[in-house]
Amino acid sequence: MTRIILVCGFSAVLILPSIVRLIKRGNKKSAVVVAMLALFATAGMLLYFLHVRIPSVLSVISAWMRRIGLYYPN
Amino acid sequence: MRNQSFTPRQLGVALAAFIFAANRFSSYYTETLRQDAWLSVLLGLLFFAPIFLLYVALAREFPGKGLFQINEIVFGKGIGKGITVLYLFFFILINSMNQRYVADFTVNTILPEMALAPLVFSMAIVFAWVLRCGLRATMRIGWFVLLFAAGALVLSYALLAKQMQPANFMPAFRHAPVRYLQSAHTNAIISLGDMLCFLPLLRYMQPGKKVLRPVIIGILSGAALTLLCVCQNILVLGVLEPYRLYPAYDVARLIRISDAFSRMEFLFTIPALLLFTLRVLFLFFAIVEGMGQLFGIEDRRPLLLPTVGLCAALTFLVVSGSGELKAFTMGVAPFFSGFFVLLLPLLTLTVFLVRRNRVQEVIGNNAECREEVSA
Repeated sequence: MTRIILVCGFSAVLILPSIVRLIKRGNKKSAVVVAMLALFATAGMLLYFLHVRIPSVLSVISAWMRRIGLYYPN
Repeated sequence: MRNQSFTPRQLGVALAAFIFAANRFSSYYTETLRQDAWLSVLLGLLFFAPIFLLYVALAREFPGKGLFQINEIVFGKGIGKGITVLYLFFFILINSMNQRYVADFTVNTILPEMALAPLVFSMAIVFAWVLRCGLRATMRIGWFVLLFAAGALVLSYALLAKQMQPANFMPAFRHAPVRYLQSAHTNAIISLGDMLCFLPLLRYMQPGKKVLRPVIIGILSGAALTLLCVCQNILVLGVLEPYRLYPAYDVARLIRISDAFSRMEFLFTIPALLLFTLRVLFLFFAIVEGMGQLFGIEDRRPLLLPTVGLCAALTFLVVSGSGELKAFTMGVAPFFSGFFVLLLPLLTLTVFLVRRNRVQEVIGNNAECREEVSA
């Protein structure tokens, strides 16, 4: 729980001022994009800090490339 | 990123630093060819020449336009945005990999007690701070970083002269021809091909100046510095070199002026960290440029912080460890990156040549619209 609060708090402190400033300027589209990116970043950090076991992107790409035979054998 | 224009000379310097940074924290130059690794730098340059000509052709056909704008002009808005998403995926991936290289190196050598997460987030704060200073400021510090790194390399050559053994280059040219091809392919695509990230930034280059000469000089300077570094590694470490995780760092550790100056590895670490920071920053600029183009946001500054946060988070999710990173770079990356570095730009140029008249009509209409708006 502490980890979730820390990560979400960290992201909110970093991103919220930007979003508020953009909305005040009337730039809602940018605010939505920034919020979306922040959401992805927070989700990524949470996955790492909560030790969720997911295969890394490189391992997925490696497995796929090896399956189609495009690699240099070690 | 308003008022971020830079000169072709600054671009050349940035390219030299970008290329020189590529081999700082990795040993993939020597994995395949070992004592002939110096040849892989030259062969890589030769292999990269047609790819470079492809980039030049694209930049010539669309002066004042970045890669993402070119995609939308050539393919139309829908497919163009799709291709921009592909490039963004590639840039974010190599950005995260590069950040992981720096983080792993720091944790393995300089700060062994430190956890990876605080280090990556500290780096992210530094990146965000420099990114806010803008592209022009980053291009300007290229000179300083490059000269500092080149000076440190020359100094380390002088200090290690006694430990260098030219016999380490022998036996030469003993590998199978396919190994030379593999090495050239790997170097051309990974260390030189990543400079694709400068194509989206070309729209900020000052118009009406000769571009090609400083760019070629920049690429050759970067390759020459890399060659010097690889030769130094072979001359000093010899047969042990391919078995080291950070050969350039191990070489710097052997420098010993007297008992008072026995820890001289800062001659490697400080320039290397600066070079890599610069490399990651240019990748960040390309990513922010792509995000702005994708979502139609003209002012790119609000995108900086979330992009840095996203890439920092992905640093952990993209790579699970140093071993995986090295295996990917050596085995899969030459083919995977080849799709983005060579095939996609080639496709763009081919489609442009086929639809040249239609594309030029679109460019003409856009220019007319802009003139009407400004009038």
